[in-house]
Amino acid sequence: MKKLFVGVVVLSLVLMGASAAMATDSNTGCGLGDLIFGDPDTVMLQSFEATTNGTSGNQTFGITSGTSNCSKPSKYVSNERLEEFVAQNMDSIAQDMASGQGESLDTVAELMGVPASERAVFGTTLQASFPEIYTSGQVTSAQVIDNIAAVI
Amino acid sequence: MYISKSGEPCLDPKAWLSFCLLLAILVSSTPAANALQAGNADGIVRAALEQEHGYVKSAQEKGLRESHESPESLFASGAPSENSEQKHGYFIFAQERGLHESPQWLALGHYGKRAMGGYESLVDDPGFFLHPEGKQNPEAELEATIAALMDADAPLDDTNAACRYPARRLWLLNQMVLAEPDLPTPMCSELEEYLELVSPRSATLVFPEAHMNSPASMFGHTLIRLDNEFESKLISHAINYAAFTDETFGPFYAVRGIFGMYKGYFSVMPYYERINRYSNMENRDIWEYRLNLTAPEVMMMALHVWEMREKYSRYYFFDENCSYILLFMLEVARPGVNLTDGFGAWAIPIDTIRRVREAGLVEEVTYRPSRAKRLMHIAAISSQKERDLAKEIALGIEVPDAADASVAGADPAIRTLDMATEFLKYQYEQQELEKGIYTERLLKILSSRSRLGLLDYDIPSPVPPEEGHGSARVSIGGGSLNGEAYVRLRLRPAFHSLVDAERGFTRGASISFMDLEARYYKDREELTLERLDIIDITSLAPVGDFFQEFSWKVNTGLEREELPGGRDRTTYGLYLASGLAADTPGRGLAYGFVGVSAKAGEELDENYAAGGRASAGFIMPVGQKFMVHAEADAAAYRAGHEYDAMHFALMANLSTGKDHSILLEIRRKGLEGLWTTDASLLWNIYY
Repeated sequence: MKKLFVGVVVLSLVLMGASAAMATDSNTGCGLGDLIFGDPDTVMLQSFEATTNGTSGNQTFGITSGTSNCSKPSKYVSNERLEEFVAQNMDSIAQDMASGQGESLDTVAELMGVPASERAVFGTTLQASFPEIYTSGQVTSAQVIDNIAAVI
Repeated sequence: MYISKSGEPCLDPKAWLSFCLLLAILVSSTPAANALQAGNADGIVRAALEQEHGYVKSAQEKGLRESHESPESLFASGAPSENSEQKHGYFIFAQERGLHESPQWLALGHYGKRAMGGYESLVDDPGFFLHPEGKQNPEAELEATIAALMDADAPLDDTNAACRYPARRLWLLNQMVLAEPDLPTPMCSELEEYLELVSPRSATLVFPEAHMNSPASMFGHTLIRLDNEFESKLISHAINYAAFTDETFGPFYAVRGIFGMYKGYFSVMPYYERINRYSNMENRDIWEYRLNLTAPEVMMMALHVWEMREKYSRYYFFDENCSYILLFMLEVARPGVNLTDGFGAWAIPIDTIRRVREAGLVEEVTYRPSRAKRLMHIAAISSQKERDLAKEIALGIEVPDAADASVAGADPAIRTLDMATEFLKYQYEQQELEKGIYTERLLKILSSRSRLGLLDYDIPSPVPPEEGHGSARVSIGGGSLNGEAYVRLRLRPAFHSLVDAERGFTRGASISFMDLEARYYKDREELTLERLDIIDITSLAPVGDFFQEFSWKVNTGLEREELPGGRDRTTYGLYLASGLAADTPGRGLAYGFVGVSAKAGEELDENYAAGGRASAGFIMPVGQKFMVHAEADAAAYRAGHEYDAMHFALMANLSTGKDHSILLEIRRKGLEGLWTTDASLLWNIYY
């Protein structure tokens, strides 16, 4: 009864709704700028989806994004966690690397087994070699990993 | 032409009816009333908890119960039994200890106490329950669980009850109702894979705050992050409860969300995905509350998330929403902590965080600024020239090397290129830029940046949101309308207005639901419903170098208007407006809106009025405790009942504590040829 009353009263807001499509989660890209967007949300609808955190898509548990469609690094014997992280975070890793420090860069270091005491040097070394690691706008995550391995 | 009705009673029955209904709703959803309800549940929970602790302790000490043989003695060989009598014996063993009503069993089943007595699970998926009546019967569900776990005939793969209900199994082992030798040991390969990937050691409650320019999202969202052995939190996993929708039509989305027509599911995803979405795409600040749960407690929670895999509960936007359902996870982890009782008609995410804090679960709070915040911070410490150049570089008008380190040193150039990078990414995430252009420009900027070295930004952490004033507000006071004294009462279930203390809230964002004002005029001996704002939202987005968005306002509800000759009328109105806002010196915010206003009421000619309306004003914090809000509003109704209305308001709010303030309001209204001056003083209590 309570729900009914509250719901009926708030229906005024319903008049102001517009497109409700939700941005889907990021896709399994391997390069820079690989994010999937939903339709741009209107401001007012954002208010609903912000609180319901609705998502379109099937209801799988969704633990791994999966990098099955990304090629593997050829020279560096890496692990799945590293491959997946780099594939999904190409842009933030690039930004951190150009700055010589940052959380995404630290994560790469940790996943590559760099001890905590050496991470600062890792950062500045990669910063100095940035164009040799992120070689072009189409560079893939596998290439980035190989390029990092070649530099350190 | 306005014609008055004759013979109106002194105590307007409409006012009383609305007031009582709303008061009833409000009171039944206040913490006070729910404490009463919860008192009962608390009592049962406390008794069961004592029993539970008592049992475990005495079992460890004695090894044997007085009134029953121990389960072990029933099975000399220790092999799993096919005998259903013996399975039942295990269940009686548990039942005598009240385990079917113990807090952790109830949490594992998401059971809530029913008003009529007994329990009902909030989970709606029949596949979640092992007993056909499991949803209403935690006792039967416990018996069915024990039987399923002891079933020697079930296949030893991922479909086995042990693999599907690992938390229930672990709990029964911990309670010494079951012992490992009695149970089959299937190969739970999917479960093992999940545990290896997630590797839960500790847990953090995560709160993404409001979007820019979206006051309703101030209510926020919560998720739980399961931290592993890695230092980097980006590769932790986040537990998220969300409604799964395919809706594209706004009103349907709202209705279905309110009435539980969507299914809610748990999902687990890498934390960096959540950051990419909340922090970057949606520009929401994130607060991380590290919890003091132990590793075994976190493991229990992780196992229970697995139990909820692909099992739905109906998602109710107001009460059984993302934040509320997550509380069951924490109750599973820490037995006896009561988080889910005491929420009434709605559970606002920030209030669930307050509840978790009060329960003593929070160890540390960390602030993670959004991309927009980072950009605004760097902009604030840069010169106008640097900001302009950053924008031009991001837009491709200038080349990155235009940020020349040789002129003024590296720092200004670094700031310029960092702003350019953030702004470029912001534009791409808002889909204002094509991918090919984005990646090319990004690389050029980053290449230049990589030659300039390091620079640290220390982004100050604002007041944490749970330290803001309480979500509901009740106000009492008095004033005078054109010399006539009145007593004034206001009730607002949620959430925050421009004149309330800003601490812990998004600046310039205001949202109110069901804001009710009633007055008792002394001389007339009349109780009136002055106004009922069903929804009132204002979003002030100050225009700046990088962000230029429209501000907007929505208001709908009932309003009583004083008319010449001692008459009045009550109308239902809707006001929609859009405009601009700007920062002023002294941390103020000035705004101007233009929009449309419509009113409906039987006392209006043709029962309606419609026309244009404009508002302008400013908010200004003064010192640490004062908030001033001044506004001028003018409306010209030219369709239906034609009239003009003007309204000047000056409000000053003095905070006397986190949840108390004193509000002075002075209003001058002009309507249908009558000017009124209304001054009042109110004491606000937030809770």
